[in-house]
Amino acid sequence: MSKPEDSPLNGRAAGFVTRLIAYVIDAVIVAALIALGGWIAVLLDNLLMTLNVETRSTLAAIYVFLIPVIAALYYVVFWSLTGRTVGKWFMGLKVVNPEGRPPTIGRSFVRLFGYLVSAVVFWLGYVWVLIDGERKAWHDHMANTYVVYDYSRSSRDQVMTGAPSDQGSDQ
Amino acid sequence: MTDSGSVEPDSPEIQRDAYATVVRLVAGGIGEGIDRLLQASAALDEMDAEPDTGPMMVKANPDVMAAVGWVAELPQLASAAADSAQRFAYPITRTVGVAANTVAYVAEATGLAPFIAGLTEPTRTAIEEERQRLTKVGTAEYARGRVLAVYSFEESIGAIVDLISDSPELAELVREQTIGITGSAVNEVRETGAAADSLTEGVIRRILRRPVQPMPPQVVEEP
Repeated sequence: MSKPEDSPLNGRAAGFVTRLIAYVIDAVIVAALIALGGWIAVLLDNLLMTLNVETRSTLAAIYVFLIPVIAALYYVVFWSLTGRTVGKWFMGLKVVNPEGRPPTIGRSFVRLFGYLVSAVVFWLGYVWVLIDGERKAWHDHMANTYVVYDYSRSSRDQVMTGAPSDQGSDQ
Repeated sequence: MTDSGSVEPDSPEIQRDAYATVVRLVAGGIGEGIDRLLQASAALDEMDAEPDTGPMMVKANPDVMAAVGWVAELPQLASAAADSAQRFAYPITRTVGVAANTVAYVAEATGLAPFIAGLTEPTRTAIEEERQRLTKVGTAEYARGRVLAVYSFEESIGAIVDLISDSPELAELVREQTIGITGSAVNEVRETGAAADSLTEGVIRRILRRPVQPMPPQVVEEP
């Protein structure tokens, strides 16, 4: 079995395309979680209807309140604990502070709020990654965070992708 | 069924006999059942023509009772048909043997022959020995041959399952290949994404007449 080895890109700022793919994956997961919450609310409503308890408006209000909570929990918990959401893990990315550690809960909340700010002007805050010297989006500037490459790969991958490896090309 | 001592259990004649038995049981059973129901119906018509004798008389009619009895025998007929179908176990056993040989030929072509041959050799030998034994025993005593064919089939399957479950090399090989393929696919996406990052950024920066960075900026040492 090939031994995993850190990518030479580790610690370098990630670019627009990988971040966009990770963002889309996370958005799909959050949407699925929200849909699951809606399904549970409908089940609960049906159950209470059989008991002649009118709860539809209350449940709807709770559900609307829960949507941002679910999204916030997903991002803030993952960022502050590991620096990675599922999408970022898949794309080999990590959110870190200038010391290279996952952001604190406070910074994570600021970063999440920054998502909204970045999206306000036609998502210009996200596209900013393409022209920023450190590849930082607006929300990264607000929370003072970086998104960096961080993944390992086996020597098998290096052979497949033609990347340099200790075994194959020492020069 | 044949009494010929020179006919092998897997011969077309015996297979035809097996098919015929199943067909005879099913078709004959249906024919017999229809016949008995017609008899029962005729008996009831006859009784309707006579003065009312009460429901107990209908129940006691022998033809009606016979029809009910035939229905009760249906599970036994099905069981007999299933028993006859077991004759196909022997051809299936041979098919397993042929499949094993086919795997060996494919393995030969792909260069994995020594490894797979080592794994499948005991099973193939067991199947072949069982087949030869059945050929001898089956010609002398067909009923016993049938039982042995079933036994052989079950043993072959059991041997293959044991072989796979007891082979740490095979399990390790499968595990390593699965992880390797998945990991490679994910890392390929990552590498391609990183290349696309630089490409996209380079294009945009050229359009905006900004300096193109040869490598992504190193922002932290140890993430």
